[in-house]
Amino acid sequence: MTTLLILAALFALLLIRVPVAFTLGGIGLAMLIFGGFSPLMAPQAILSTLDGFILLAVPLFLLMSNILLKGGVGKDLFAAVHAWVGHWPGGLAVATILSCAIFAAISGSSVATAATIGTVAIPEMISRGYERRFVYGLLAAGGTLGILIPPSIPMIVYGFVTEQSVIALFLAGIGPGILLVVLFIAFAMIHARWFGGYRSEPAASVDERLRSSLRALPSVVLAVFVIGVIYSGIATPTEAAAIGFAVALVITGVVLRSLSWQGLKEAAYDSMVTTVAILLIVAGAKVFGKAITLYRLPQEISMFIGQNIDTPLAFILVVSVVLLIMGLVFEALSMVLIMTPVLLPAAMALGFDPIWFGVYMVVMVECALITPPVGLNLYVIQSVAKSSLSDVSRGVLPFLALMLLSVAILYIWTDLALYIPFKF
Amino acid sequence: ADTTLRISLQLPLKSHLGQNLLLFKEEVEKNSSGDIAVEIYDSAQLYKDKEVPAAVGSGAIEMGVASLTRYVGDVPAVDIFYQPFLFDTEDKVRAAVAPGSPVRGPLDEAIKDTGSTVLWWQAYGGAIMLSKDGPLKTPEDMEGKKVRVFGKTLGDFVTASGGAPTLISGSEQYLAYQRGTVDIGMTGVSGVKSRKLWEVMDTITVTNHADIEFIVVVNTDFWNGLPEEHQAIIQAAAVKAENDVRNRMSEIEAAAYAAAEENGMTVYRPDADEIAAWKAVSQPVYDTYSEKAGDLGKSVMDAAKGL
Amino acid sequence: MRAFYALLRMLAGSAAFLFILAGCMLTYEVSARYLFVAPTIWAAELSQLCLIWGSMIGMPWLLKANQHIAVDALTIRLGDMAQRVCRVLAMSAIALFSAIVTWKGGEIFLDSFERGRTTGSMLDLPTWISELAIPVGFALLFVQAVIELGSAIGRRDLEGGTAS
Ligand code: NA
Ligand code: NA
Repeated sequence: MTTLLILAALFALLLIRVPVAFTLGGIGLAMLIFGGFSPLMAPQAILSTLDGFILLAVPLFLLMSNILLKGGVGKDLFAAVHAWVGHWPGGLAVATILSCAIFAAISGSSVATAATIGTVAIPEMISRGYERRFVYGLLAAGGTLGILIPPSIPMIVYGFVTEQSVIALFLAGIGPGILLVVLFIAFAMIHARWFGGYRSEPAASVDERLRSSLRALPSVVLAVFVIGVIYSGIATPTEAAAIGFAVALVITGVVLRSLSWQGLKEAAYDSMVTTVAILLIVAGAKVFGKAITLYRLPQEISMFIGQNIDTPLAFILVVSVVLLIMGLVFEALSMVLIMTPVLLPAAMALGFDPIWFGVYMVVMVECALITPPVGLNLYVIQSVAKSSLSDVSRGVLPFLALMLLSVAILYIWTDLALYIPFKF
Repeated sequence: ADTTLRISLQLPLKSHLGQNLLLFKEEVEKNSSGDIAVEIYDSAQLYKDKEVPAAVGSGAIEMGVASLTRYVGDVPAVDIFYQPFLFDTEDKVRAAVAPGSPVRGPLDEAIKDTGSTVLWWQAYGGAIMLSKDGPLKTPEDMEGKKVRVFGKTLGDFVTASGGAPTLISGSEQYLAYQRGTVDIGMTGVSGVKSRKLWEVMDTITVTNHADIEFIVVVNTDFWNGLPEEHQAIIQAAAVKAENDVRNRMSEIEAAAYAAAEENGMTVYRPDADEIAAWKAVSQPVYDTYSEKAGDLGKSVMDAAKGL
Repeated sequence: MRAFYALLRMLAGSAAFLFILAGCMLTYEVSARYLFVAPTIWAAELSQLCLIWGSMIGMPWLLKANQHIAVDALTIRLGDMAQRVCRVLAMSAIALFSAIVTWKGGEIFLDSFERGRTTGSMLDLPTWISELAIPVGFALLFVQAVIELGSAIGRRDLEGGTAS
């Protein structure tokens, strides 16, 4: 009964367009007051969130990718990859996915990845005769690689709320990220072969390949560098983000000279806006999380799961269905924040590794980002391509299926995630 | 139940501190015939360790477990237990932490000013150091190395020994050692076991340079509002829990050392000369302490030296 | 009103600057640790303060600029009157929430301030320095929510509404 009331209040406030952060925080605070708990917990929870060193990585990774963005690396990257693989069957599509993957390694957000690569790739692909829906789906789904391939803001947040190592999560995302890239590329090539819809183009000249690669080299080097810093343990994730920011500044400001003063100011402003929006959601979710914990809802749900679901397979099936349904209407980050405390204890009792479970949650979040009616990546592609939401939504369906396939592979072969952080 | 005691704990329930809270819970619920309910919120579901003093002191939650050093902002004298090698035998530790002892008594009293009353102390064991390729026999082995620490006083000790202190959270510890973010580890030995640190470090040096204590605190206003018979029940359970964990501590540590050795770690116990070398460099830490901890610090330091 | 918007705008700019400052301090920290094995004691804590204060002083501007993440799946389908009702309700909810957080956050700040509580960390700063950010940020948010509420009821799009 209480659970239903809480859910009803949650939906009511979200639907009248109270921002997600204040919806979660407000309901949490109301629950504290009605339950006879101290309302001091609300400001304490907000401060505790902002006082998390690991969350400092959020603005810094955003600054890094926004600075690169203003420095025009999206265009350079796509041009370079295109020069190498553009003549393959479906070459432009392959170039798009690879560009998404490389950009994902310097950006922690799906939206930024979809927007950056989408802006250059969509007009290009459509002008070369690719089917519209396929293009939209490819970009919306390719963009979600942004949060699976490190760095990743949802992984930082998951590590923050579960007290798990963010470095381990980052490293665990690499394997599944590569798997998705391979699946997407395979699908794009098959789609091109059987459904056509593309005009084959001549291979770029060696000269052109080298010239474009040289231009894109700094950002590729930066991507490798950031992953290298994280992997080698030279710095904590937050420090790696700071170094990434500094190097991005040097690359665009000094090496390429493509960042203007105005561009820097815009990058700083955009990063600030996204950071504040994200961190407030985390803070609101923390207030909400405390309240439901004190109402003992996660504990009861965990116990209920424990009593009724006794195999890992059944658990993952049920949870995946629940997350898919929630993902239709929930903003993706708040879904992780609400569901993780509820699900993780039950998952660990069934023997799931908390790092593996984090990667699994991120893949499910990727699904939520591309399922209508509420899916940020759909909105991004819709606005970049100036198309209808239903076209984009239909386009993502095959990619959604591939992502669910990757969940199945990840379940059967857990080392896909866990090998790199723990056994490599 | 008329009364609910909610307790915030940073560590998981299966840790020895969590098990100790369970013992308290059973005892209180049994002896109060269910009038008092105890709810344990483990694994930092509600508060992180460092937030517990403010949370309990303000009455946001009834009870909480915090490492003693978390009170250093309010009561700088609590870091007496982090003064290098001050309590270098189990007997000295036991004498210092006995309820009402001249070391613990004044600290409990001072913590009361933060709005929290100390119910009992939970033993956590001594601080040890971890390394790869050989033990840390003397401060020379720390020269120029990066060392994980978890508090300012321990950082002062590392600096005094010629190392570079780096704050690394418990959850990043494993990878920080594996990847070499720091060269030398520092933790309680039970942390080696629970986090399987033998996978990434191969040597324990049993320095026991600091004594790690946790305290269980209750909001003072809430406590004063309880009926006397409830206070008596809770206090009795607290004493029982305190004795239990204190008596089992050497057993818990021995089990952790055994597990570490079974998993291929070398456990090195420095001899008297080597410990003397560590002590010799520690003077600046004592100096900083007496500078910061005021009269209270001086009185507990004198008491500690007299043990 | 104009002055208040200018203030929010200025605070938003400062927030962006604080995040950049945090990035610079941490870059310095890593360099200091790796090149000279001399980690700083201030970088981690001061950069954390940048995050706390930056987020709190940026928050009210985000409401003004309509940049908080919200779900408009329903409201965009509503008529003008219904949209206004939703807006009035939503802004009232935010105003109420921010008023309580300001009040309770203020209590936390005052308590620490009077006691002279410090963090006990490497730098050992007073805790009120970070705690003050909460009441300040939410008080500004409260004022902005009330302004938005007034404009939703009065149906006038107050000055500056489209400037962002
Ligand atoms: Na990424
Ligand atoms: Na969705």
